[in-house]
Amino acid sequence: MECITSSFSPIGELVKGGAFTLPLAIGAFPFAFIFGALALQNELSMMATFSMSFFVFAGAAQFVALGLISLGSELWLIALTTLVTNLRHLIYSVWLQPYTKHLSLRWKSILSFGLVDEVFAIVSQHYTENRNEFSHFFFLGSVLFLWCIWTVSSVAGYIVGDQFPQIYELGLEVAMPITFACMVVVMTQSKTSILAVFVTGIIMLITKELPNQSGLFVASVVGVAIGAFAEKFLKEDEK
Amino acid sequence: MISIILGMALVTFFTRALFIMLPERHSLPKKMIEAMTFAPQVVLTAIVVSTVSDLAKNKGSLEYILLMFGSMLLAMSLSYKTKNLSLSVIAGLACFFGIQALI
Repeated sequence: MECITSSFSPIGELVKGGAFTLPLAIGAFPFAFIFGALALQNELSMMATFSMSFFVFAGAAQFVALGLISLGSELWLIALTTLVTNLRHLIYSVWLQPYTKHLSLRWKSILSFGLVDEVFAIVSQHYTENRNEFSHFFFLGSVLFLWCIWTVSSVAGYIVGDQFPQIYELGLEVAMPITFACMVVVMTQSKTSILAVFVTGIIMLITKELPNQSGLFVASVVGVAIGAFAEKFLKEDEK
Repeated sequence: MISIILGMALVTFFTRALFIMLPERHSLPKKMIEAMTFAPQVVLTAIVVSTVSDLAKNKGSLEYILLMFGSMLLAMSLSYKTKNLSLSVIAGLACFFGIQALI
């Protein structure tokens, strides 16, 4: 895939990446804060809480791991559960591969580390609509901003979480679904994409109770497959 | 605890990096890339449906559920009409937090 050259700058894209991630950071903040508070309740040390958010940086998997740690589960079970919880990231990795294949191993490592849901949402839209020669800086800006918010909020939740119980009542958690829903509307323009989105929604509701959020992966794979088949069917029909 | 965090970090990095880390000469099959066209909207839809159903179940009150769906609908309609993501999200959040503050 060719890059569209223009007058973009690395710093400009870095800042833009962070700025575009702001609405999603509002949604990530309470989750990280609650994670910190729960870590304290589960008798994790502050260093362990910080390290988990800093080195793992995987919201849902961290919550699941907390529960398993409190039950005294074995390492292999925690690792396996983390793998299942994060399976959807494989889809992100496949999608981004054509856009990042020219980058150095160091760049790929850093960007891969930060490839969480919110970052993928922002970055996939950027690569689709505004790709330029410094898009990896935009990607990095999004990763760094969310990583800082996630780590700092986790530690804050650990330190003061029990003094601010009203934070759970503010409803900040709606920021993420509202932002993602708007992005889906902007991205979904063709008949086949509407079909893929609709089927995904139904499959997600059916598979919601599968363990460790594996329904997310199942629904996404089915949705992608339906979209691809519908596209192929339509093309053959046009011939 | 160190081994748990290290294990989780490695497994998480593996799922995110598996395809991105492929050397440039190893391109993914064209059909696979084409099939992935819908991946962003499909994954985001799955996350929205999952999160909204969790929130509706956990928060319980009808006012919260109606307010959440109303705000989301407003934001999505604006997004469809204007294609302006920032404006739509700000309007949706303003609606949610504004009405929540009033009631």
